[in-house]
Amino acid sequence: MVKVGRKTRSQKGGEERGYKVAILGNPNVGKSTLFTSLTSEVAHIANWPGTTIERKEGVLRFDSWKLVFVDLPGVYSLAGTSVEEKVARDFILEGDWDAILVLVDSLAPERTLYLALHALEITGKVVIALTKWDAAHSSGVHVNVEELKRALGARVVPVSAVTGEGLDELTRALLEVVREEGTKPLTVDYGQLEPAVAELEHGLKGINMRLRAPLRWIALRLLEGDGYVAEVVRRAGGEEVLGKAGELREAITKSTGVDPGEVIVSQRYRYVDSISKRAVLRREVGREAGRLERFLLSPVWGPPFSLAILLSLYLAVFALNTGFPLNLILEFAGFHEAAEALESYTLSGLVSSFFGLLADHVEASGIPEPLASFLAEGLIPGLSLVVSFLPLILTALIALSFLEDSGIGPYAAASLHKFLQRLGLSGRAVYPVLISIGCNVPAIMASRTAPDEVERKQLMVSVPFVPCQARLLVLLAFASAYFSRDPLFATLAVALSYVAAFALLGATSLLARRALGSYGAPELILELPRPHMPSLKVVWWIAWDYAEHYVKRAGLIIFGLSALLWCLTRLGPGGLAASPGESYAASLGRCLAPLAGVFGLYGSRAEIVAFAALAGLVAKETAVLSIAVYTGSADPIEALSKLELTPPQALALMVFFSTYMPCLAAIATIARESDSLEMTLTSVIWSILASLSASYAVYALASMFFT
Amino acid sequence: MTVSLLDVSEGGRAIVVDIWEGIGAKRRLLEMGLTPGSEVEVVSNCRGPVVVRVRGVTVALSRGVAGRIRVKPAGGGDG
Ligand SMILES: Nc1nc2c(ncn2[C@@H]2O[C@H](COP(=O)(O)OP(=O)(O)OP(=O)(O)O)[C@@H](O)[C@H]2O)c(=O)[nH]1
Repeated sequence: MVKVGRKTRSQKGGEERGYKVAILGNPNVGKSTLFTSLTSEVAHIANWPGTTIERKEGVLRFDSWKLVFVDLPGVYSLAGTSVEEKVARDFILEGDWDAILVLVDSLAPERTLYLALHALEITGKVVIALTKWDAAHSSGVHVNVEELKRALGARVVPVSAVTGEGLDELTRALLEVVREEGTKPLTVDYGQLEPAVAELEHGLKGINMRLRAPLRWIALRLLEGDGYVAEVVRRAGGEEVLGKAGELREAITKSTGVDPGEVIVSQRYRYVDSISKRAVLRREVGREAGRLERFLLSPVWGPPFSLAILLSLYLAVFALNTGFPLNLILEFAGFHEAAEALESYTLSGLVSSFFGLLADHVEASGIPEPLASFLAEGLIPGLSLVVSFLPLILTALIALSFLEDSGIGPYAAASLHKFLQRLGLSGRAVYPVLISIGCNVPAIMASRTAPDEVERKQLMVSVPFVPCQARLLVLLAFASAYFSRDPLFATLAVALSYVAAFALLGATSLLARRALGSYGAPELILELPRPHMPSLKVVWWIAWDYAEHYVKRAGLIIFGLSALLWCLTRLGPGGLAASPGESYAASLGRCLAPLAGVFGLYGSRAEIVAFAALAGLVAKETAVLSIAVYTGSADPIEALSKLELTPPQALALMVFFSTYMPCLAAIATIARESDSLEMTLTSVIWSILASLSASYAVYALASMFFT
Repeated sequence: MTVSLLDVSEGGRAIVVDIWEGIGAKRRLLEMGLTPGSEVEVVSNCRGPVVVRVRGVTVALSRGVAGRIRVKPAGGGDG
């Protein structure tokens, strides 16, 4: 079933020989960096089926050859105990690769060779790249490449993605290995287990499992009790071998007191140790932790210091993009004009004034209605919305890759772990949660750094509850319309909304964790790379990759949905609606209005609130504006006061508006990142239900308090 | 004499003896190189996560995890 040298069509129309190479490596081994520097024409092929892990392929052309690299998730082994491992294992065992490129970290070969052994035991079509070669010497690690080649019986190429050293040689090695005949997998000696392995291997003869692994490897997996391999064997009619494997496992556990799985891992590491002893020389250069590391890990100073680093990055990102929170501080200090000027010179401000000019231009150009309105108020603002997120995503992700790449992120995660544990999250969640206080869109993207699939999904559904900057504006509008007489109370009202939102985040995250089958607080097992100055090239690559991706996938959804929303709010049964009250959205609002009855709102007041909630979907800050438009008043705060809400109603609506549903852009991002309609809908419906319940609870409690 | 990793003080070295079952993470820990017989050096152990160096890599372990790793003191360090 190995199809070597598939013919593929090149862009120029001629035939060229193409090979597929799977890239396998530990987390942090330098995989993304190498992938980016090796390939061009990177294609994001949706996600690996049923996961939130994206599948990336990149092309490398060399002479008349074409190599397609498939980026597998970073894993420690192919045992299949995590979603990432399952994805990698399935592709290695069943995918259509012609060779496997295994990355071994030249700074930590004693650990990263372990995964290479896994691959070498499966196939001889392996090339090993020793990554970060440029940094090895200065870190005091010396690897004897020739000795390593001999010991592993495989091609080993030292490379550096930073200097470009070894990349051509690596490509040549790959082209050699795909064409080589008669390569053989590596045989590791499993000592006392050998008789059992031989017995199972013998029993497996003649069973066609359609796995791209030798029988010896399958026998080993059966001995380890791998459920997936066992299932494959069963389907191929190997009941008998399975029974035998069960007996052998039991016998080994009884006689040695240890589970065969553990024996196999230890034995494989022993093999790695014996190779390392021969091929790796470690001079203990600066082996003790540096001052920065000690400081970050200190129980007293670590958490505040980590938070301070994160907060300053956060402030830098948002000040640059939207002026937040400086604009609000200026506004409150009474410098209204200064705040406005600041906002107009931020990145979002510049984008929106550009599109504002464009819209004015279109409106004045004499294009007939309703096309002109559609262009000026539907399409152009939609485009503006998509584009205005772009600088935000870029900068937020530059900050994130800076944190990750410098190694500070993982340290901050370790020192803040205990605080997030209560929310059912690990310390890794700190960045997504923090960034969501500004904007949920990059926060949902940043959930990629989650340690596992379960936590990633938890974050995707719970992070949208965090009131972003736009929702803070809505909260402030409500507070100044209803509680402005008492500044203390106004502050408390806003604070209450945040508390409610974070309570919903915690509850959602914990519930999702349960629903996804994980119990108990997440434990932290996190590799901490040595803090270092990140490569700006790498930081930029990663951030740009996200941003580009956002435009292609989420951008389209946002654009489409905002055009749809324009149609809803501007068109009515009689064509272009003369006033918002005649639009489809108003009719929809009237259908939804009875829901506002739980807050004691009826009739036209309920309709206005429902209309505002619909309008707020595009961007939350428009919720309040739409009330002004609907009631025909110029000042949004005045329009809000016209609703004549009681204090409990105002409080309830504040909680409601800050949590009721992710905005369009956030929904599009969830859809894009999860690649699952089911998950997106679950998230939306859950947020509506949870938000209604929470705001009703606030209403009921406040009603008792205020009477 | 065996103790848990939590009992090794900062700067101490120890040899992994065993990992108690009961956390799904056992396999992960083994595959990250914390196999019985391997030497770990405790970089930090003070209320927060326990940070160890093992096989050339620094790893942070939350206290729940660290408490399940049984170790014996290695020569040269305290234990
Ligand atoms: N000196 C040096 N550092 C490198 C090189 N390649 C990667 N790095 C660094 O190694 C770290 C990890 O690189 P990534 O490419 O993000 O590693 P990865 O394997 O994709 O890691 P995950 O994204 O965690 O799966 C980063 O801090 C990089 O700056 C290299 O060739 N030389």
